[in-house]
Amino acid sequence: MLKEKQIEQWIELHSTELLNRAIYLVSDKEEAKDIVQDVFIAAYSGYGSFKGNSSAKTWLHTILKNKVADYYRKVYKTPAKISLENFFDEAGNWKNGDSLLGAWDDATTTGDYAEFDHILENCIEDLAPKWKIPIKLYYLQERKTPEICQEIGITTTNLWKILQRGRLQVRECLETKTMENE
Amino acid sequence: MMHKLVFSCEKATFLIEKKASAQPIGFLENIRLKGHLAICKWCRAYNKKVTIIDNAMMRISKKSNEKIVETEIMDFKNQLIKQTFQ
Repeated sequence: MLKEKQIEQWIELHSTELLNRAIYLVSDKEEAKDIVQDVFIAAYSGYGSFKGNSSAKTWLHTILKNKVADYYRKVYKTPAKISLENFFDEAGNWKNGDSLLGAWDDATTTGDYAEFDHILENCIEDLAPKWKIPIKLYYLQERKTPEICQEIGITTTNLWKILQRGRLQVRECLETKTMENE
Repeated sequence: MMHKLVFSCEKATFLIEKKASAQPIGFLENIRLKGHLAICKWCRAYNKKVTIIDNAMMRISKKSNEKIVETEIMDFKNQLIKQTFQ
């Protein structure tokens, strides 16, 4: 089969699954689309190295894995310096402590979480990739720490710090947005 | 200040995170955290909110991820074919 025809067929057969996997791993649809595009460009230019003894699907997923690893490296290229200075002063005291005291009990006592969850989802989407990826993976993988660290290539301690930093920011976002609604 | 005796809110929130995620924290750390929470209303409030966020996050991640509609997939495939053979 002609190389172009073959690649076209792979796009038809495998691109949806590759895209879903990429979205899962990088938590961003547009970024995921770019990565899948790179996968097929790499498959096209490296077509000669496809031996056919593994399935095309496996081969494409291997390329995807490498491309995602490249993306993680890009996101974490500066050894993640996690600054909490937005939230704490030099002595480690809350900067804006009183905003914490407002209750969110409305959602939690009525049992109607829909609105709260919706706001939370928006707050998560607003996070920068380096906070968003670990947080989403952490919950998607049922809070299994070691797997995530291995996948993203960060240390466990850094993951805790990232989760702490991410949740501080999400909490602040929730406080602002639930207030707007009142 | 009180933080000399116990520890800072920054450190306390880190331990709260660890605990919320079912990670073991040291015996002494646990006692000091309890001491901190006893005298710090802000960290007490934060402690509550972490649990609320944690539960909500688990609810959200159970829902299926971003849905991609059929037409978007079609466009995406066409785009892939165009860009790949450029």
